[in-house]
Amino acid sequence: MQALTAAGHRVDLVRLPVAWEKGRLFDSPLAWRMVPIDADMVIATNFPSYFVQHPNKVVWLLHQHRGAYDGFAAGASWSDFAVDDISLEEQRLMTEWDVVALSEARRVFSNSGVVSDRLARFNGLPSTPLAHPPPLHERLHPGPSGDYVLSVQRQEANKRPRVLVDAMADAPRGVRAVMAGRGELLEELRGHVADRGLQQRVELPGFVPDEELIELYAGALAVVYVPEDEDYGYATLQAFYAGKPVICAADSGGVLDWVEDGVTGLVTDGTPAGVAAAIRQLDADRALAQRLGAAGRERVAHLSWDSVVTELTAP
Amino acid sequence: MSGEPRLAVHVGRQLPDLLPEVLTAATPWCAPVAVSTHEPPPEGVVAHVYCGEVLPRSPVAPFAVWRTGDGALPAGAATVLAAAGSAAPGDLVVSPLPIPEGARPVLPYTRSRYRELRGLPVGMLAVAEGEEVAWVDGEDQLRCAPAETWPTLAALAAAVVATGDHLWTALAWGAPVVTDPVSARHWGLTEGTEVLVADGLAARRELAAALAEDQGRAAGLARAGWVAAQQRTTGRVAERLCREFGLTRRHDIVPAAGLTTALDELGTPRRAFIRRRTRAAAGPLPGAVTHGWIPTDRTLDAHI
Repeated sequence: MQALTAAGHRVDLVRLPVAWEKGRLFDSPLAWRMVPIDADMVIATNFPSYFVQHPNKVVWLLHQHRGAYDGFAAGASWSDFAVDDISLEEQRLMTEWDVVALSEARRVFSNSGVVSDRLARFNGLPSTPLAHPPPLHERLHPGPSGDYVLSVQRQEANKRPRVLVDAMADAPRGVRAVMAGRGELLEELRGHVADRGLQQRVELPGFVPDEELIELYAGALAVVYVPEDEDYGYATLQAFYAGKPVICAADSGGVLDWVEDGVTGLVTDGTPAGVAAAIRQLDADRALAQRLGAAGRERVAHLSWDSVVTELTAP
Repeated sequence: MSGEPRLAVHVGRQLPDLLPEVLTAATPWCAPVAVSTHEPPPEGVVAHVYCGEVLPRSPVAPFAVWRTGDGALPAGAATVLAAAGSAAPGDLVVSPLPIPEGARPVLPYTRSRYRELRGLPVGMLAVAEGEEVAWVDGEDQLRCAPAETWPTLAALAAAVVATGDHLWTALAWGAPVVTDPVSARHWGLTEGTEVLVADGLAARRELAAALAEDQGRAAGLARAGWVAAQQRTTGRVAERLCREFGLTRRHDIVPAAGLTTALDELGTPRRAFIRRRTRAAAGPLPGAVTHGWIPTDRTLDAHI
């Protein structure tokens, strides 16, 4: 919104409530279908906003309805779909509706290679990945490597926060983990840390204010981010803006658009042992950690909201 | 202009088989009138369709041409229509076959889930050429199947080999298809985008097997093939013709037509749950779930 306004456009944000569960899956798309938009252009970002009808519709897809497509296949608790006839007919019709609505767009962008790949596999539609800077990007800065690894994420199942907790049992004794962020698993994680006797080495502060978060990034040895099939992942980009390498998993999805093993971070097998080994490697070779972090910072140097606006509004 | 816009239809000795169907589909938007080139067209004519064996040297613009032979077309045609089998590249192809009743696009990702649910082989292939209908089982054995099972096979297979009319059924079900050059040409399909093409059954099966391994490629092909089939139906051809000529009847621009139109345009099956939800939500609002406030032949028959 700010970048569009700065570029001289008059911008209105349109939001409608969304129902994600199976029985009401098509209500919100149909509501969007009927929203009258008299603007010169519409930029739709998410399911179901791209169902809006407009002759100059551009889609910048951040995510589809993953619960209907592949969320249930991955066993996600937030999907009420399953492999049964009713779910599959809903998925089939969702696919058909998505194809129609997205095909109307003058151009289709996504926010990452992973989202583009899903759109190709689910719907047979091409799209162009268009990355954007993460929140705080103008304020994040490098700093000397400290004695902790940082994780910044919501503490939820698809982020796999237990991997880092368990990895800390095998990580070098002089390295701590700071796991910032709230989420439905926070209390359970705190209990898990206590059960493993890691209270002195794993901190779970919950919500961390921006100023503190910026300094935590600046002082970290590395950032650990091992989500499962992430769409984009701000933590990766924020780590790079702070000049820190990222330790991720080989199945972390969009994170792998940015983390190249041995170049901007370390790609592990996603097990606690694998993550512990990566932490050990960076702790033992601080020059390597700095080199990977600097390369990450270089990777994000070209990102800007100006270029995002230019692409989205190009005739 | 008073009254409805009219489409002047210039017919030669014989009316092309599919033209009446296209004109019937177009009539909600305009009224076709038969005209003679020796007389001035009646009032209200906004465009012309020429389909005689001998086309005029100076047709009245804007105009479309129905291709009936190999003869040269007059320059400046907005659209060239042709029945399947008679089309040249770039023509609007009209299928003599409707989309099979009950056919719904099942794209490769969803069909892989259906195979999982039904316990079918992951990379199941299906073949329909001439009289033969078959599928390839988990041991890579070709197993014959009754002809009437083809729609089911076309809906579930990871990739299909289909020629002739079987190809049309496969496209309608959103299957990723490998076909032969004759069938692709007959339906005016683009090789590599809408279908894959190979000479010889063995080569087609090999291509289909590779396609079954590549879900992204298969999905792109399946979507494009399904869209191509939809575009060849008489209704869609008529819509395209009317759009290009700017033919819109006032009765169709009614605010309350939106819900039904939106559901139809998205491909919603007649018995879909969302139609019932829409009816329940909007039913008390007069006209909201019909095709509009003004009853017409089209609106009175509309379903939601």
